[in-house]
Order: sequence, then C-alpha cells, then structure tokens
Amino acid sequence: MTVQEGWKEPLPDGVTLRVFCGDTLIFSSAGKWLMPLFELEDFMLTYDGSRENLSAHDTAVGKAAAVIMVRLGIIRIHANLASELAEKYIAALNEMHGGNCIELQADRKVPELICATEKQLAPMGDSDEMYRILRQRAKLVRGVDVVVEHLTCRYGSLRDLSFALPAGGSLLVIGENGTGKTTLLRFLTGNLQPEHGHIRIDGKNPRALTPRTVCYVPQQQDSALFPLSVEEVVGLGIRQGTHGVRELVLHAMQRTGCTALRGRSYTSLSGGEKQRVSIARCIAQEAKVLLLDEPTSALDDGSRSMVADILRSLSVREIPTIITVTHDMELVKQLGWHALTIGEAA
Amino acid sequence: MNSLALALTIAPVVRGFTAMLIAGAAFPLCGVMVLRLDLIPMRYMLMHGVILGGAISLALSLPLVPVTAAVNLLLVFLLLALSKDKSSGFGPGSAAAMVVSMALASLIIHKSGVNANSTLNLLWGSPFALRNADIAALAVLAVFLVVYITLNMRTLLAVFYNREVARSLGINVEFHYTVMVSLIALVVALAMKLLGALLIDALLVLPVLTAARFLAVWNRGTGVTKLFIVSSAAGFCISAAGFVLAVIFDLPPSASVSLAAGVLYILFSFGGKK
Repeated sequence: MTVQEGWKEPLPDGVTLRVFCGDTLIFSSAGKWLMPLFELEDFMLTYDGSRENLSAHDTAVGKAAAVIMVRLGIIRIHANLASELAEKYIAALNEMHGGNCIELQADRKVPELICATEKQLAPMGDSDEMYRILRQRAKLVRGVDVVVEHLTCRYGSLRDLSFALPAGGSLLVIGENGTGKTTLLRFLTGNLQPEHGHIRIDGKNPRALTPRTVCYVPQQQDSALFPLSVEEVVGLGIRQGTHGVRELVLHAMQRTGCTALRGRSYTSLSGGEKQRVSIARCIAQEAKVLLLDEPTSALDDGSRSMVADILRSLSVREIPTIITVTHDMELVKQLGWHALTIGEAA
Repeated sequence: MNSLALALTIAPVVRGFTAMLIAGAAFPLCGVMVLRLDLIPMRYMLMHGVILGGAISLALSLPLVPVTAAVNLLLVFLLLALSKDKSSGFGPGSAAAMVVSMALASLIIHKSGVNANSTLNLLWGSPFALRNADIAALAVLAVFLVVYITLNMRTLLAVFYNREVARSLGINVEFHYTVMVSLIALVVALAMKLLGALLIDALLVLPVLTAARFLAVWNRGTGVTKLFIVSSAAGFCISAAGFVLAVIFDLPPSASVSLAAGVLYILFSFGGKK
C-alpha cells in the first residue's frame, strides 16, 4: 500500500503554506512572507488535535521560517525553495538533540534568501531572540515604541538623555544609586512631567496614553497596615467591569508561577514572591510597556534567576516593551539585553 | 424586651435606631479609607472642625449638621491645597488646622456669648436628637459611599496600593483622593451628631480594626475588598447591639455603641486559632 504524503505534494495555486498532521491537512494559507506561519501559530492556540507528526509544505523556507516551524513542533518540512542557512540551523538543532529529529527537503536550494530578515538572522543562534525579532518585524508584539529625546532633569544627574526603543524592544538602564534611574521611570509613567526634553510612548505624552498602557513596578510597594491580597494586586490593572477577572488573574499567576500564593496578603511575601506577583500584575493588565525599578534588589541568586527567566519569557511570548532599571550587573549578564548606562561622569 | 418593643414605638427612638443601622453599615467603609490612606491625623483635625462648626452654628443659630459639614469640607480642601506637591502628606497641615480650628471656636464662643457648655455638648452626640432631614442626609451619604466604592473598587485598590502605580495606570489619583477625603469629612460631621465628636471612632475606625482582627486571627482571608465587607458587617452589628443595649438598660447610646465596639474588638483579638 502506498502511503500518501500530502506534505510533499505540489501546493495548489495561490496557496503558500499547508500543514498536515500525519496525512490530514489541518491548515492552509495564501499569505505572504512569514505571515502564514504566524497565522498557523494563532491556529495552533485553539487546535485540539494531535501535535505529533506535524509536517509542512512551504513555498520558501529561510532561517526565519525554520525558526518558527521548529517552535511550532513541525518535524518534516518540504520547501519549493530553501536556504542553506535554514538547512544549517536545522542540522545544528538535530546535532544538539542527537539525531535527525527534524527533516528539511527542498526542490531547490540557495545559499540564502535575498531578504532583510534572512540577513538579520544569519549570524544569530538564540532561537528566542530570533523569534522575538521576527515578531517585531511582523509588528506582532504587544509593546509600543518608546522615544526619549534630550531629557534633562534639574535635580539628579539626568542630562540630555535620548534613546529610542522599538515596539516590543527590551532595554536595561544601568547606573549607580542616585544617577536618576528611578526619576527616568517616573517621567515615563507620567508621574513627573519633563521641563526639558520630550517623552513619547506610542507617539503620545505618557499622561495622554490610553489607561493601563503602562505597568510600573516600583521598588517600594504596598507596605500598609491593612494590605491588599495577592489576587487584588494581580488584578489592579484590569479594567473595572471586565468579565472573567478571576480567570485573567489566575492565568497571569500561572504564567509567573505564583498560584500557590493565592490567599496570602501581599506584604507577607518575600522579595522574590513580590516580584512574581508584580509581574503577574503586568501580564493580567496586558500592559504594552513594562517599567521595572530594580526588580532584583535584595534578592538572592535563585530569586534573581527566577526574575530573569520570567522577564525573558515575557519578552518572547507577550513581547511588551520592557525597560528595566538596575545596578545589578548579574541581572544584566543573565538577561543579555541592550544596556544603556546613565549618570556616568562627563 | 418589652421595654425595647415599647421604645421602638417612639418616633425619636425609631429614627435613632434607623440612623445607627445605616451609619453602622456605612461609616466603617470610610474607616477603611482613613486607615489605608493613613489619615488618622486628618480625622482628628476633622473632629476639631466639628467643634468649630458647632460654635459657628450656635453663634449664628444655623442648623448644626450642614454647618459642620461645610466647615469640614473647607478644612479638607484647605489641607489638599496645603499638601499639594509636598511629600509630608496631611500630617503637618492637620496639626496646624486642628489648632487653628480650636482657636477660632474659642474666639467665636467668647465673642458671640455662646454658652461654652452648649458647644462642648457636641462632644457627646445623641441619635435620639436626629431629625428626618438628618436621616435623609445620612441615607444619601451611605448610598453614595456604597455605590462609589462598588463602582470604583479596583481604582481605589490601586490608589491604596501605590499612588504612583495608580497614576501610571491612568487613574486620576487626585480626583479620587479628593472624593475620599470629602466623604470622610462628611461622615465625621454626621457621626458627630450621632455619637459625639469623642466617640466617632466607635463607628469609623473600631469596626475596621475588629474586622481586621477577625480576618487575621480567625484565618478568614485577606485583602481590602474583604476588609470593606467585614468592616461594614461589624459596624452594623456593633451599632445594632449597642443601640438595643442602650434602650433596654437606659444607657447613653453613644457610650453603649462605643463599648460594644471595644468589647467586640477585644473578643476577636483574644479568640481564634492563632
């Protein structure tokens, strides 16, 4: 008996991607560039069939497509045209996992696809980072762009500070105590209004933003005699009247691994637990911009790594724009994000 | 029991009982705000504002509650203006306003020839002295309080949690802060006629402390939402029990309600699992 292998069959006219589970066609798209793969990613969120033995037929597979397909669990790929960069990427993965776990076949091979995405990804090796860049290029990120121009504060040492962060970008602002890191965050949250310079978040003044665009996690949080509960803190950013608040809160708590803290009062938590809860608050809020002030101050090594893991995971999944101020060089090393140093002696 | 049934046929007693039940359920909601926003000094200042309002009311023969409410509102707006852009909060301004209020009250009493004892009687309120208009004002304030808190619960939680975080969420912190301190000012003005200036805390703060003890010691949960609900229930029970005891044993209601609040607080502090 001949086994039909739909994933190897020619694509129908106009179709650019077909995905099979075994021999069953489960997804088809006529989109361009990497969009069919992002559509597939959305489809897989609600797909409740088997996720084993997934195969795909794509018109062109470069390194970018290979990165996304592997993330989606596709193990057999047939391409009309594939790049050697994609082939190398998959070969490296197969070598890492000890065997030919992922198969790539192509009707025609070229050294690399002639497009900016392929060029950008060529020297990269971190799958998460490549994926984040791809979503940024596709404008499929939760974040919005942040622009700071010639920001100067009459007190502190913020002098003519300028930087721009694209939507979904991540930035570490480093500097010693008293260099204006927290002041910068207070400007970005709209708590302070700059006298000199401009701040634009999604093209707007921070005070004119749609409510709940920004999630600010300051160092000093609830310390009152009658504290909020953990669930109340996580739900703070959810708009009044939203349906399914409990589910949103629970989902956010699961995301940061703090469901066991339900029922506790916020002030009874350790520093690390508070950070988990605060970041869960940002997730429940579906914030477009996260502003974190020294998230690892006074945390032990284990808690610091936990915070770094959660932030990295956020920067790859929800992809908000994240600005973290810190003087913790270990966190800077662990996150590996672009760092901006402020307050250096002139 | 017969004396209670008989008393409840008398109009001032019924009015007093109704007022105590409404106040018992509603005033602790303001108490949560007072404690969460750390406004204890402001609450003291408002009690002195009540004395000033009482002196003005007696000197000019004006109705007591509207005058004291107006004086208290003026004082909180003055405090808001004074504390703007200051990190020290309401503390120093409250202390100054407290002294100035008493000084003005003293001057008014001296110059207008008002009997000082009449003004000091304000320190001891009586629910039996309430008129229908007072109860209507109390009911309106109670409904406004409940509706405002229910509709803005998450906003209020954010303001309680951290004002900078609340502002970053796009919440108009100054507006909600002004609404809350205005509500506290009105509640203190009304509570003065019910319980007297000295015993306001029996319905404002003690039910909240009792509720907090109950939740903590008896492991009944955490959080400010729960604190609002349990404080309101505690206040309702305290005022009902205190008033009934006052009628049965012919005691001053303000004292018996305050005593009931104190006893309940002590009971919950010593009982429980921990």
